[in-house]
Amino acid sequence: MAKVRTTLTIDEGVMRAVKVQAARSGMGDSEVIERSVRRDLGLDLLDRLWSRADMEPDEAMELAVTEQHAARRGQH
Amino acid sequence: MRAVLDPNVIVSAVIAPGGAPARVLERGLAGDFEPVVSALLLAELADVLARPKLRQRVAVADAEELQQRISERSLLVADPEAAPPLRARDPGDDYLLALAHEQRAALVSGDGDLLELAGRAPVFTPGEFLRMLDDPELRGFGA
Repeated sequence: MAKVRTTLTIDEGVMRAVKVQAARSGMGDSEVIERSVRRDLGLDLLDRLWSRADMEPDEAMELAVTEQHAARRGQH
Repeated sequence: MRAVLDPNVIVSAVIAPGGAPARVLERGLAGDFEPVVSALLLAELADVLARPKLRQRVAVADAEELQQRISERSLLVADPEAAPPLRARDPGDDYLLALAHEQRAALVSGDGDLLELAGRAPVFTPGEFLRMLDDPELRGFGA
């Protein structure tokens, strides 16, 4: 997804912690903040799941619907 | 804007990163709309993710974390006791219709049994729902 430039107003102590984390990890301030927000929103989990996912959308929906119906019928 | 995501949309989103369901789930977690969940919906999501064909694609720990994250980022409400005003071909879908009706929410699904109600009930495909999210005039749905 495209990056956008933005201006944030955050607590001075939090910004200091961001800079410490950035220096320790070798990341930029923006990346530290983005990673933290993604983790908070649960988007890091999607990133992890999607790194291993390889199905085509139509195939995935067909499988999801089929398995949902089977689960409702109690089928194995 | 509120939306009930049929478990098939959530499951499909997780195993196919390139589709509309993936974008819907991503935008729901990010707060672009308010997902609505209930105990029945979360239980069905767990049941589907536990099935062998899905278990080989989504590990137990990831499935549990997904359910947890969705619960945290959604409005959790009680399942309605009343039947929905419009019934689906599959009675198993009625709880989704009732939930969406009671919460004045869109219902997003990939199931033909529900999508055939489009026009008579606020049921949308993931692609249609994404277009609604991006259209300021349609975003007011249910408000």
